[in-house]
Amino acid sequence: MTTSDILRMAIHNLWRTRLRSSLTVLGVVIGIGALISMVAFGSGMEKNVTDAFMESGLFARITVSPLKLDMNRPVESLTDTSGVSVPLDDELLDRIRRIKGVKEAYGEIQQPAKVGLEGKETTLTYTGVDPAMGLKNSSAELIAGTFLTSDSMPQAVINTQLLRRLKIRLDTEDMAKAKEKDTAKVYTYVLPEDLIGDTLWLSTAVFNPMRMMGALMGNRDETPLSERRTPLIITGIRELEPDGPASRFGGDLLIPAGFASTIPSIGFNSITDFLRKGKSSPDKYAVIQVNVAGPEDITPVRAELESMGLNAFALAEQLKEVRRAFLAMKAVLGVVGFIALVVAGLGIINTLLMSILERTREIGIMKAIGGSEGQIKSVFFGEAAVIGLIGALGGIALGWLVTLAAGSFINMKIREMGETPMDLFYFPWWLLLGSIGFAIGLSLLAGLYPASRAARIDPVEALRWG
Amino acid sequence: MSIVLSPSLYPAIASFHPVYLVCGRLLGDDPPENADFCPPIRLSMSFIEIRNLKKIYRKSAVNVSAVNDVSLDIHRGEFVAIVGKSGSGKSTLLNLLGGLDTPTSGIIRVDGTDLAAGGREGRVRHRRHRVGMVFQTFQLITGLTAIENVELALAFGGVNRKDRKRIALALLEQVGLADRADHRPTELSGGEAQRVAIARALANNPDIILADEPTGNLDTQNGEAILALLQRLHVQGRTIIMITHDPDMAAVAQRIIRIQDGRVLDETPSFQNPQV
Repeated sequence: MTTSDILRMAIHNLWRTRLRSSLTVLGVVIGIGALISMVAFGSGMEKNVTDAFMESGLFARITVSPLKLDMNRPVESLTDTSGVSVPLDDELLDRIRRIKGVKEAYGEIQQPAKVGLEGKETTLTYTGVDPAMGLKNSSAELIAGTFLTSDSMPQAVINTQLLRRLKIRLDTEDMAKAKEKDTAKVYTYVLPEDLIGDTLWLSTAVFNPMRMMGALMGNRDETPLSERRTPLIITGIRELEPDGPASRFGGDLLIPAGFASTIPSIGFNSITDFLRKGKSSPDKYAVIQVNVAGPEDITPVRAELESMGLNAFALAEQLKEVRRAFLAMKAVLGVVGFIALVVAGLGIINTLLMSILERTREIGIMKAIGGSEGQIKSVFFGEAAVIGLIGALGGIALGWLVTLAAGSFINMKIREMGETPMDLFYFPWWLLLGSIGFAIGLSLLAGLYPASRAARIDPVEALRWG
Repeated sequence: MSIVLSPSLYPAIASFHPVYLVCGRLLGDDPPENADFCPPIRLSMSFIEIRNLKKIYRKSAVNVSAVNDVSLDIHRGEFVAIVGKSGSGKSTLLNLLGGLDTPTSGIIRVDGTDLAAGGREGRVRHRRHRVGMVFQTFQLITGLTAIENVELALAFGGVNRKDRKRIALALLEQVGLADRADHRPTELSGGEAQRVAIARALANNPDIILADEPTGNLDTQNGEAILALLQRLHVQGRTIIMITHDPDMAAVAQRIIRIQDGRVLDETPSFQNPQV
């Protein structure tokens, strides 16, 4: 008997008891459906994170910041940075650019500020970036307008996160539902194109000696600071960069680094300046972004930067950890699906045992006309395998439908909340092939006992049946 | 030198000297070459040799001897009828000969080969190629059509699918049922079903046919038709062992063996149909 004979016989036998067979198959369908939608969810989550990471070019990125301050160290030593920290300035930038494996390096300025637009305001940290570097290092797409065009012009690229904080929503199709629901008119709806060329106010804190008097007079609420407003022209609106460590580039408000350095401000550095007893900060940049030529350069370049006394952070090295965490997550989700499959496996055992009971005489006949134990076993294995295969294909279809429905439902809710929809589920090829193989394997395992029991049937006894 | 022989004479000749028979012609001492068409048959004293055969069943702590020290010789090409009351052990004997059951003790040799020697595999080979079994209740698989029932036996015998269809149809034609090939057993009369069962028994071209009351469930007319079919198989050179309790049926055989309480009571040559 060939494999095709066994399969044809199996299908024939299953067809004879279609109702029972289809209920058994349904068990496998549900088991596989549960398994793959669970794992697809885990994979989808992982893909959302890792894809954003890969697209952003961050796999080739090292972020350099001054040596991390140890908060447990006494304050005195915090001010004593001699020989510990290397200032992040243009000289360092040049040195970094000369390291073997470094493709490019540029500094970013980060300062706290207040932002006003359309009569609304919020506080944030703006980032001064090199316009030439900015666009290609951003993983977020532009919704409207262009990236920064000049290093010295008062320009700004904002993102949807900033708009959200300003309670402004883009009047797009995605937002139509959310707009309908916003009966209290909490948000202002603006067409993306209308924002381009609009003026955005950046308020920074500057030292004001005049107000010093008030502070000295004992008015504790008075601080020797005042606001300085700088108008910026919006050139572009970006999508929100994905959450997590991948949203390293830029932040919510990007302005040209050249222009940023001209904005008067008491920033984060000013506090350390003050603690350093009046010595001005040696750091021109908050961070220096380093792009290496290839992923293999990450480790040596990072080691080199650390040996220079810098704090170098490479997300690529963190990705392994992230992947491991997702693997654990998928495993846990998989176990839930696996339990469903084990139940389905018991169903297969039950069905096959019933079938053997009903077909005892038939098994006796098969033995009498020359069927060997192996051939009889394979007939039942064939039935188990067919149940597994049909169950797996059905399960994949079910899993796909369920995730499709769940995905669109969740995304509908996300849209109503005014957030960007995303792909929640992902079916990698190994999941599809693996689930087919797994279902057949499990079915064969379930068929092991019934098949060997069938093969052991005494033909003389069996022929007396019925 | 070559002589055409009646099968009944084989044992007598073989008792003097080992000889080979090809297509009914005696060839002498050496195994012949280039004998593709008819396989050479080594003549021996007996084709099926049963010695001190015992089968003891244990039924609710009591040992029941179904077959009790049976010794028999059945010759090649012989038509033997085994008669006896229900429970006399004749079916057990047939199942032992068919390799469906294993004896508690004793030996069955077929053409010089001990049936027990090949173990489980040997018995499968024996059932598959050596014997064809016919049962009182036909034992057709109801889910399969007539031709599929025959094809299944061919499939077990390792015949490829294309040849299976052709051989099965030829066999059904041989039993006069080619037009009923696609009918299910439930759509066939008893006589037709038994003819399908005979066609199936012939699937792998066995030289022994074991028939357990093949006419027991049939009316006289159909019974006679089945018997005629068995006689035809006998004429073709097959060894037929048939269980029956109908004396008229048994009379067709060359030899009648009576069994009682698991023992051979007596053996009588049948006078109605002495020789082929």
